[in-house]
Amino acid sequence: VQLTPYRVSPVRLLWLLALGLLLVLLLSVFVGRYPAPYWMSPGLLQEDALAQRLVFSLRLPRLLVALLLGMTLSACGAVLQMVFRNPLVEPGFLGVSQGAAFGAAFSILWIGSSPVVIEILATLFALLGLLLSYTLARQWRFGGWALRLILAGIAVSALFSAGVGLLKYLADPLTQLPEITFWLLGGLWSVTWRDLLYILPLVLPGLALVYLMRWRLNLLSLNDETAFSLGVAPGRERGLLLVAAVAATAAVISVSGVVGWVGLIVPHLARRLGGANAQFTMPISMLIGGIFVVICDNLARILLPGEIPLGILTSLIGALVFIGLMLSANLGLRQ
Amino acid sequence: VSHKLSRFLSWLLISILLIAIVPRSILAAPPGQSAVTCVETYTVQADDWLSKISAKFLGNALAYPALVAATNQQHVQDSTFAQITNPDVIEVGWKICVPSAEAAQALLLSSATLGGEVMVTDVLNRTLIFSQKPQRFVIAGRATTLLADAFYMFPEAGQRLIGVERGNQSENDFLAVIDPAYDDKSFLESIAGPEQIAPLKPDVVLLKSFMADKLGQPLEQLGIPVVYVDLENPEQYNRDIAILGQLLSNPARAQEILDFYQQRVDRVQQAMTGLTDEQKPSVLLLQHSDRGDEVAFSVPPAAWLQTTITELAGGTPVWTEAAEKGGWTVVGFEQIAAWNPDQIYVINYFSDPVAVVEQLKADPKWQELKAAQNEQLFAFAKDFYSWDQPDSRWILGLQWLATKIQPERAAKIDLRQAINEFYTQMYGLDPATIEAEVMPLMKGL
Repeated sequence: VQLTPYRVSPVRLLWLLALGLLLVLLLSVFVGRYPAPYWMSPGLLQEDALAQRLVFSLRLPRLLVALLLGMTLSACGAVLQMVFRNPLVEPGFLGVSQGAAFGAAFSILWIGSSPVVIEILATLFALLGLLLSYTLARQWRFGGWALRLILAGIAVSALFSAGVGLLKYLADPLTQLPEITFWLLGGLWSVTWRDLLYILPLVLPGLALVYLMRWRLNLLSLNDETAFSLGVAPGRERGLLLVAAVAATAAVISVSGVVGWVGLIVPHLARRLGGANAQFTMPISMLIGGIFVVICDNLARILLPGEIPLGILTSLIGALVFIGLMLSANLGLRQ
Repeated sequence: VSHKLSRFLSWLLISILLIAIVPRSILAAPPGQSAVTCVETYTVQADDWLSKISAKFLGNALAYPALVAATNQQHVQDSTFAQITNPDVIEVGWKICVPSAEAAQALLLSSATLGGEVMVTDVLNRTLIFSQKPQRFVIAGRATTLLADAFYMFPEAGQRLIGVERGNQSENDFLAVIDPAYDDKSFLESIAGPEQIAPLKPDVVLLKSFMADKLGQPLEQLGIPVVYVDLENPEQYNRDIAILGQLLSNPARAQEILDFYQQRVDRVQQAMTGLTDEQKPSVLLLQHSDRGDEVAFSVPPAAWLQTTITELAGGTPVWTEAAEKGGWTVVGFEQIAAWNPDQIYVINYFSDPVAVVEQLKADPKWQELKAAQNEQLFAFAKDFYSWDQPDSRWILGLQWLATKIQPERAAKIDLRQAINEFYTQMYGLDPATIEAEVMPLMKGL
């Protein structure tokens, strides 16, 4: 059997995806429920003041946050999968998302509900979540590494979820509780330029660092001795990458709420399409993630006269596409 | 090749950054949000009034709403500026912000702050001025039906309301009974964002105050004014009905409504004066829920309306210590048995509480309870909605509860009459309609 892992060369694929992303972004500006469901003619922008404000002060920042959310979750998923040498992890499985959620709820309850404070607390607790999962997995003495890491992640996530539950008990029902509940619900419908500006200082450097260090990821996914002999300081570089990826993730989560499955599915898709070399899969992951979340958020915005929680759409569509692609790839191998 | 790619992707990142930052400075900030700068600050002297100051600085006595708006905006950042809630009342020493002529013009033209016809200060202490009476109202957020019920106590509500979330507690929509055109409204799903609200082109959106960050701010960025009301407990009812009265330019009706509620609260309070603690039975309110995957009983937080009306009606709520602050707390039978209260009231929002109580009475476990043995196990009364919640019907709930908890002292309360008065005076229904539409749904009276 001749194995042909990809039909399109990764470089061409990247250009295709980049063009696709630009096209999706451009079209998304005119997709919505104003003035009528689904589509707004570009001409309206010149005549209608409300349409202008809607596009410039709400849709644009929302689009950009959706783009960053997709890119960040996918990049973080890819980093976690490679660094931990475990194809089954994503931010939601390692205590990162739940840690961020706990940090946000904690902040709303006791410290303050200003976006910056929520973001900082979310980041700190997300890092704590990852650290706990990793340390626990290292301490345990049974099962393989992949299994231990997943189990530890599940345990830590459960701890933080329980913590969020407790905080909801203590919250003031008239003011804090609705705020926490809304935050946990997830979604980008309330995003404004201010939110985007608040997350950029963490997200852009995080993404840039992960992107620039992508070729080191290949080395870091080897075992320590091999990596070291190739001239890498594995501990430090892994730490740096993880902190960058997790901080960026926590920052976007602090605006969007927990959005699951993107970080797991997209890197797999990217590897399926572009091979295992992080040189290409990292940017492919980011682009696919961006396109994917922007499309899901468009659907969340237009399908009903109310917002559909983003996490539902990402899981549904992501899982369907994923299953489809895996099946078709299997067929390809059998031939 | 990968160099090109690198460059392309770096360029992509940089352009995202640019797109993110540029419009903020280039695009004019939306009205109501724009930071007005004061070309002058003026301290109010004796015998000043706003139109005089306006004539002096802006050259037009009629431009005074611009002073109000500019000063109130400054007040948010700098509390040395006055907060003007009523343009007719200013005091000596107040610091007034005088905007530039252009800024004043912009303030006068922007929909949120134009002219002085309707002026309202909401629960977050924000003052809004509308040039004309707002005609198109949207009620958004969650559980808006209860808010809509309060809004409909004003006769003009039906014409003005254009969009609302459809209620989910009852198959029979109460608002469809009082407003024949109700089915023509735009119905929003439970989480409607600015994108879904904007097509309705509302003049004003009513929200509960906890929605301010999530929904209020984005709406105001669109230039859609937002007024916050809460209506969660009796004090908030007093305050917020008055706000709705201002907004609908019908303060007289607001006063009528407040008097109606106050008279009934007073009547119950008078009937209960002098009750000693021994004379107050211990009371447990339980919400029965068979939605989701299990049957559960839960008690409300101590700070909610249910506790207030139980105390007003002459009972001692037993659940307040067990209840957590955040919301309904599930309690097991053991806890209920440990309380073993004199009276138990079973609430069910989605189905028939009377049927639930019949089941409980047949349950040998429940028959052991003091309340069951003394026939003091009741279904909480409901018609379209259960009467225990922060809906306009809480006033019926209070009177009904008084007749149950303190039957002798509340003997003068005639519930049939109370129901008729409520639906006639608050919603303008005639007795025949009440008989045909409301009474058939009545449970547990």
